[in-house]
Amino acid sequence: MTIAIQPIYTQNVGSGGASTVTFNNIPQTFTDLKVFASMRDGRTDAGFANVNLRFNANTSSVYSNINIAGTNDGGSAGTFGSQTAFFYNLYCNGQISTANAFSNNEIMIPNYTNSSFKQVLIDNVVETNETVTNSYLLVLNAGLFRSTTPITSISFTAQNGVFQQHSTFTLYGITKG
Amino acid sequence: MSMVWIASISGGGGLKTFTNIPQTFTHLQIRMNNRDLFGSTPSYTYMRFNGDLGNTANNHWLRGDGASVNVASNQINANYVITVPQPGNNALANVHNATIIDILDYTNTNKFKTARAISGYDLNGSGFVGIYSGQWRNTAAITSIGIGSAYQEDAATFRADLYGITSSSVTGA
Repeated sequence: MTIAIQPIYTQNVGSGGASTVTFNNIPQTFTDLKVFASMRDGRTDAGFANVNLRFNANTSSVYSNINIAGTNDGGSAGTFGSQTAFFYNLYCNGQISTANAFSNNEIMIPNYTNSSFKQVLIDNVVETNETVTNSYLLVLNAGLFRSTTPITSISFTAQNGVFQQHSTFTLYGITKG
Repeated sequence: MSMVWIASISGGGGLKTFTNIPQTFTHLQIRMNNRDLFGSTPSYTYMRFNGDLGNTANNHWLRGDGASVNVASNQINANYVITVPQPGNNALANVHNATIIDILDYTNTNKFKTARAISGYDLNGSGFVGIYSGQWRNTAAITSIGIGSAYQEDAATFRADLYGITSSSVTGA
């Protein structure tokens, strides 16, 4: 019997924080990749913060995404073309959030070794327990990485500071039967 | 192996509980189907951690009903962590919601516990689909999870399965 999902890498942010977390040398033996992230950023002016997501350290304008989002300001939908990273796909808690609050994110990357462009699905929930603007954030994203190169590394960069201690990133490989 | 079945709960009536959850995994996932004997649709499924009735949870949703999108702060001081809609007794027969709930770092005592759920059901002309969030403002490790109808009237066909997900000790940095 094939084991369908296997852990590959885990990184836990330590007491000094981390501005970037990177998974390198990703094995090319799985069918899909999946990441669970639980994050908090050093941003001091909001309850949530963007996280930059890049593949293969590629900084060209090859990232785009479409999303639907909800906050206590209401719902919205958007598209973001030709970005140099996934700037509007991945979100986490900021420092205005209640202490000890971390995001819950899932990233799915099907066919990451394929020579086609890579489609990414991301689910974000950020609970801040504020009663003011931006008190929570829920976002569903589809993102496109316009590169035919297999994905061998994934990096997460805190857009507004550093990832706080106890942020965690776990990478899994999914194998078809 | 990274994803391991831990336990299942099923049957009608009130809240059912996963107890004595092993503390050896990194994340938890619940996969659930539910329907309610309560007369109105939607009814709702609630989830609660460690039997805490202290109104220390907040939960929200971003969902659509086929006609519009709705964003809501369902509760900011609730005694349940996640609430997802489900068909009531007046809904099309044999229809249940389909729900997957992920709970990250459930043993980490430095974090409040945040749950994320994808849930939906279709009634051949109406229904709901959405993403749901909830946070238990407590740093304790999760040792039990209660799930069931908000009206204590789960249909006999209710079923929820709990899985544990391990992680690697290799960083890949």
